[in-house]
Amino acid sequence: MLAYITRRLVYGLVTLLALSVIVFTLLQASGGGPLDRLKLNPRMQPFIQQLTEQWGLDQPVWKQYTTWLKNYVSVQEFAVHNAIPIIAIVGAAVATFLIVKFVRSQWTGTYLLGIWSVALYLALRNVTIRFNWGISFQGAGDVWDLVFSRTGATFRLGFTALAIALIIGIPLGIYQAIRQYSFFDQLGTIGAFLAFSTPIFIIGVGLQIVMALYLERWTGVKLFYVAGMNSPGYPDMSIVGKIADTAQHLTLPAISIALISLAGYARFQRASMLEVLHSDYLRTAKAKGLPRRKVVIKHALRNAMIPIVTLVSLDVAFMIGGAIITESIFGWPGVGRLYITAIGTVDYPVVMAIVMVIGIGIVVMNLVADILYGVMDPRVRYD
Amino acid sequence: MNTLWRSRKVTFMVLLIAFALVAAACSSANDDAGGTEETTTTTTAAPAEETTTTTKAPETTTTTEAPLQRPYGGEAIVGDAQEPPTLNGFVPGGDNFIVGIIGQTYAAGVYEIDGYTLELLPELVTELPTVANGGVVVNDDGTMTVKYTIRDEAVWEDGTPISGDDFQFTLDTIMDPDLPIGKSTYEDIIDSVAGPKTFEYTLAQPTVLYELLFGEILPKHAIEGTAFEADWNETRWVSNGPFKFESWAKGESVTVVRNDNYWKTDPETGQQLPYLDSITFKFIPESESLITAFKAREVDVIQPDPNTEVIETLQALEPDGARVEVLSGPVWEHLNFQFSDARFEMNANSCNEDYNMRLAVAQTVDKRVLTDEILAGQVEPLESFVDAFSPTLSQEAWAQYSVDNGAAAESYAKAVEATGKECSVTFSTTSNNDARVKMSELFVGMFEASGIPYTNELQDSSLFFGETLDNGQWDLGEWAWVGSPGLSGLVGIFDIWDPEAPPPDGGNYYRWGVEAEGAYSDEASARFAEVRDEMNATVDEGELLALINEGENIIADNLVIIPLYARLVTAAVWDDEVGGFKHNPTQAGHTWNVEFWYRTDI
Repeated sequence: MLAYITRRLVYGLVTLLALSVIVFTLLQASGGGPLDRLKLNPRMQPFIQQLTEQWGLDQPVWKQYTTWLKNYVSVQEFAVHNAIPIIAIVGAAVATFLIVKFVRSQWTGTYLLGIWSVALYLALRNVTIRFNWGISFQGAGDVWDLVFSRTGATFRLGFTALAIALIIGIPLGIYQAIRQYSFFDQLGTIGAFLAFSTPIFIIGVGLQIVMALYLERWTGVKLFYVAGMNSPGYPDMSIVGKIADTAQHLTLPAISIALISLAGYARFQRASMLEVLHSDYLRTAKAKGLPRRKVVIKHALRNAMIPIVTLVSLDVAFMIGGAIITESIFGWPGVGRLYITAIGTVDYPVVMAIVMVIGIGIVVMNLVADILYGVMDPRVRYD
Repeated sequence: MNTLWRSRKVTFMVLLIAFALVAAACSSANDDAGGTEETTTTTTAAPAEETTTTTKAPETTTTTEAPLQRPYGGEAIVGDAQEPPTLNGFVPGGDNFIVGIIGQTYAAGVYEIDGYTLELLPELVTELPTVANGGVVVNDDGTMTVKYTIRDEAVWEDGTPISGDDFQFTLDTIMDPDLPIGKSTYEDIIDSVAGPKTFEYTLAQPTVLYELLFGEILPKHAIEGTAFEADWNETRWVSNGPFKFESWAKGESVTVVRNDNYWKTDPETGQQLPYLDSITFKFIPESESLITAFKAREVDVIQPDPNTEVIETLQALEPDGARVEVLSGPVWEHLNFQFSDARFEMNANSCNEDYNMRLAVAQTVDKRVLTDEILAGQVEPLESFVDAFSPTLSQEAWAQYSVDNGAAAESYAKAVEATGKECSVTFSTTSNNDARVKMSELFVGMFEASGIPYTNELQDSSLFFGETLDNGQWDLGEWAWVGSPGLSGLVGIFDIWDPEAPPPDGGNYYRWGVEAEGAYSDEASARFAEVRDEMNATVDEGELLALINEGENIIADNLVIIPLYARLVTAAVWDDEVGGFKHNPTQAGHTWNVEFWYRTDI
């Protein structure tokens, strides 16, 4: 197990390195530069020269890349505020050793995942760490601060959308599978295809027009907002006011994202559930006279959930990078919007930082998904 | 039965709580409104008393007619597609349009651009220095001294008087070699003297570019000792404008609140400015969403991307209380020719070196069709680039060329004969700009009508404004420049044809007159270089105007470029909510007179 995780982490590092080389090269090859907008001011030429030298843009591409990489992995600030991180890490390491050495059951993966999640959470809560991700070329300051100032908004939107999609999508898929070819199943299928095939831009703008503009005109009550995460007077609101204001801003963008994921989860869950429902062991369970609810929930659902784990894990990874289009449509202050702005202004340090954060997220979440496979399916072994 | 009752009871309670939550959510908008009203009432009360106090003096001296009064209090929400990367207008990123737009609420400088006349007006100083008022003196040794007299009443938000030391500190900061700040004309300052309410500096040679110096002043007492590049990106130093910085919710909004120490009063009402309590700039990057937010009255003022569809959509809201201002702006689109040999990489049959070929293009391109098709006839075609930002000084030097397909065919034949080539035109511009794409489509028919071989080679803006422009690898190009009002703006724009300044050190992307790059240098370009040098060495208005006219004529007579049209600028405001709004088509934008805005609904 430990060897498997170590091997996967090494592969992950190689993948991330390759990703960084490809993206950096593409950024360089795509034409244009961060100072192009200054070019059309005839008095700015000396200033452009000054910045070009200061930011190392006059260096060969390979040198710019190595400088970026060296900075990216350099710790700029590191401070441990108390003994908790050390205790947590050492404790987790000892627990890992003991579990691997003495327990060795199908639950090993679950134990390790749980222990290390808690340990890392406790450790990160009690340390300050910053990497030297450089300075934004567009004057937006330190890239580390810039990226992490947006993650809260992205997580808020992403997790809400994910929760809506999971809470509705999975039961929907299960119900469709149990009632295969029923009117509800057909309706669900049509709805899922509609959600899949409608561009998110249309869904987003459509929701804004109907729910935020016309609904207010029809009812005279402002239920939802077109854009933003909070109203200008948010800091002065009461707790109830804040919750209501947040819900009024969050609902439409979260539904936009959730609709598409929800359709995906429902389709996957339906297909996966149907496959399991038609399997021999399920037939045996039914023949033994087990109640239908027990057959479906205890015997079918657990196995049918396995493919969904991968889907959800990857969604969580992509969520870290933000919902680029949705955040732009709804003026949501997340990482996705920052990313699109950085691409537009050829702000290499910001683009690279976000790409790598997404990359790291995908590598880690893939690993988590594989470990969860083992948890959900005892036949899976890590060699 | 008991269980059933309990279950119903629980269901009832759940429904009740759910209803309460929904009601809370629904009513929060009303609460907001209520809250605002309450705040408004409270805040109105205080300034209203002040108003009474301030207006008492005029009452004793004037007629019995009640003076016009504006209400104090309330908030305006301005929607904008862009978010500032930094709040520091001096460092990289500070040149973004939105930084200046927000900056006008808390930053004042020597001058401001009047939205009605497009003239420069004094802001922090008692009057703008000129030769006529003695503020500008050309010295015997060929240097030029400029003197500002700072308004006595001008103070920072903390009450500290704005002094000559602040001007000196601003200059020192700009000239700090360790700071990434554009120096341009400041580099020519060779001496300066700061007084309590005066500041004087000497430039190495006379130049009218002094007009646009010190557009923003730094408070020495607040900034000295800080890391200027790093410390002021997310917050602001003390304000000397009508508002002061309050907060920046990254990715979402910037809020500014009233500066109680602002010195300016409204000449019409005699009231202390500003009228509003606060302004929030809300960032909505998607233009569709920005318009929807305006329609839903989530924002009071917007300056959207001014395409004709957007303008029509906004104009449809006028019966409901919106006011839409559509103006011709200082950004002017132009056709241009590349004169260096690098153009052959785009078109081996380019004949730009031949005047008749350029004339054929001028006789082919119907600017009226362009403005009608692209801008729905909302602007007139440009007969001079000067029209775009200093219309009163324009000579309409390009009016000598008119559309005539027959004449174009003749000119083209002459070019073919003179060059011995099968001359053709390859048009390049940015492919991610709808108006320009439409232009390229219209050109196909126009050139076909003149019998001139024509192809489109559009490029993504990052490529076009990158390598293509740097290396001069285009034949017939199209993009826009931004003009600034005043003589300094006109003199400044002539830099783009400076034969001595091709990229990377200069901005003459056309390489007109740049012999070193294979482009021809002739009598006209040589004379133009002289004219430009003379322009940059005089502050005599009469002399300058003559030189500007001569320079414009040289560019027009030689068809170095063909001005097409000025871009539209538009802004919309809910007139039944925010009064005092007037759009400014220059870089000053829609917030230039923000201190005069007031709520019309309180």
